[in-house]
Amino acid sequence: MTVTDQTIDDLLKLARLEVDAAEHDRLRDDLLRILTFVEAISEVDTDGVEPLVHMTTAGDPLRSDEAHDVLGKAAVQGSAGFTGEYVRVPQVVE
Amino acid sequence: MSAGPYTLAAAAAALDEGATTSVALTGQCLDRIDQGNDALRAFLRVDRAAAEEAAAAADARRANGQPRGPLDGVPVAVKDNIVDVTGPTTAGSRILEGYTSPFDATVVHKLRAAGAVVVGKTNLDEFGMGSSTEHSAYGGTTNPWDKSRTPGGSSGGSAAAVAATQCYGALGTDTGGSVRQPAAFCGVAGLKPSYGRVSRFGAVAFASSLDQVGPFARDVKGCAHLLAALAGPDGRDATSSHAPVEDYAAACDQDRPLKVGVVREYQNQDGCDDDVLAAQHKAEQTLREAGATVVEVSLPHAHLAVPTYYIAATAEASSNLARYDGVRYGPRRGEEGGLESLYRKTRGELFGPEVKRRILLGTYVLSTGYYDAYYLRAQKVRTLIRRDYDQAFADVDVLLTPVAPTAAFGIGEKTDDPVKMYLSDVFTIGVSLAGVCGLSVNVAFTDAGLPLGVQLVGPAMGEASILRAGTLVEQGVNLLEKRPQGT
Repeated sequence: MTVTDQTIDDLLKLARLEVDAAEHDRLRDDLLRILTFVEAISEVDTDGVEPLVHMTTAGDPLRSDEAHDVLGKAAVQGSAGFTGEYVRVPQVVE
Repeated sequence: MSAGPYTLAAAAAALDEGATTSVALTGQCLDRIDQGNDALRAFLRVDRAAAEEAAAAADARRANGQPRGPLDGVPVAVKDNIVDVTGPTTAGSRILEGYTSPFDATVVHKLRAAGAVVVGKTNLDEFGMGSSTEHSAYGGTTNPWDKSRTPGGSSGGSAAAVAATQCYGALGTDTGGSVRQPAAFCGVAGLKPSYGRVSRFGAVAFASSLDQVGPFARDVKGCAHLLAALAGPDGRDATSSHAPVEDYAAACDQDRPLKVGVVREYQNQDGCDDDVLAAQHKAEQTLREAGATVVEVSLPHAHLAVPTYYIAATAEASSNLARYDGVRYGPRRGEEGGLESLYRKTRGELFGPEVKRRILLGTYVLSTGYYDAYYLRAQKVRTLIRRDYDQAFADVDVLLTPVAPTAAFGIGEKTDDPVKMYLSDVFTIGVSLAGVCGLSVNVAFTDAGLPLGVQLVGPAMGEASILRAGTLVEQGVNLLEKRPQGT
């Protein structure tokens, strides 16, 4: 089991996180420690065992097919970029 | 000892009889919060004006003979990762600083409908990720029994507030032990309902297959009253269960045959204090004396629960927390550098270290090349863990286990070692993975005066059994009169 600086760089990129050098090193060391710890699950034989995907066995209940009020613009009123009409984001198309 | 009713049921009864008013009880709680919050930091937000208004409305309902709810006029608190419209919900994170939800969570709506008075929002580990409340971005909560110790976590603020008589009951959320462990550390009762028993709509998602909202109160019956108000299906949460809601308060007092299982694998658990095992033996003895049968049962995969959890829960967290991107909620950073910079700097600067650690771990176990070895395998092990519980409950009605391997640990004792912190949930995590229910009850104190709890575990939708068993334990040990100094 190894966790390299490159591993951390890749994960930070995937997770959209920017951290300083000290935190980068700490994350590398912590991740190695935690992955070594969770490695215990590789000891058990899981051949033929179905993964637990759904917590409930009752199936998927359907709600009644009726229109309800939706939040609309109120859903993003807490955004720092909310203008009252839209959510402002940095330019994405040159 | 403070004047007035001590338990939630006593408070509700006193209000019902007109022996006190909600304005008086709510005022007392708000005053205790004002006096204690600098040292305890149980609350992130106190809603004095809204609470006084709700209390006066409750008193008016009674005076005018209007219909009253089962919790009418009772002051309660809500963990700050459960949204409400009264003020900001931070989830203990800078990334939601100042963010106010446009709607009430279903559980908040249900509390209000039952007449409860919400006094404020309680402190927590950021997004519920932690076992000590030290990972709150707004400063940790201290333990009312010993200010040098943590109250447990992640719902440490709710547990401490109830113990310190700042409210009669509180809501927490429990993903791997976050209601039960702080309840044990603070000497109060705390219940994690079965998965689906209580709506998660409006509870800030950490790990959606594990999260449940659960109540705290000073005694088991208080939890039962709160659960009765919270339980039931919700059209806004497709995972909420349609199983019938029982009369939980009545169940506390209903005699029923109880066959209790103690778990073989937990008897020699590494790092478990003798005090904790002695507390469990005391509860076992109490249940025997009350007529219960006690047998040994086995949970063969118990040792894999914590590793399985830290794969499953972090995978779900990395996905759930992707929504905090600096665009949709709260503050933002790095906007001047473009959209990618906005994402990376907002998340990098405003998430705390434990949250980033878990997002990274979750990203790792879901990434190409590691998915099968970690995430998929963990889900298979989770099936095995659930089968263990199914088999145990084919033989017994409830399980009796410790809640945590130690009493409340010191502030700073485990913050440098994440794995050590994770292991403080070794007895509670399996219950969450299996989706069954667990109740933490105070049964003893250490020589240093710290509370020690036990956990009663029931099958899915078996809350009535654990509430009955918990009541028997609570009555047998008779410790409700013992309270933290200054309350």
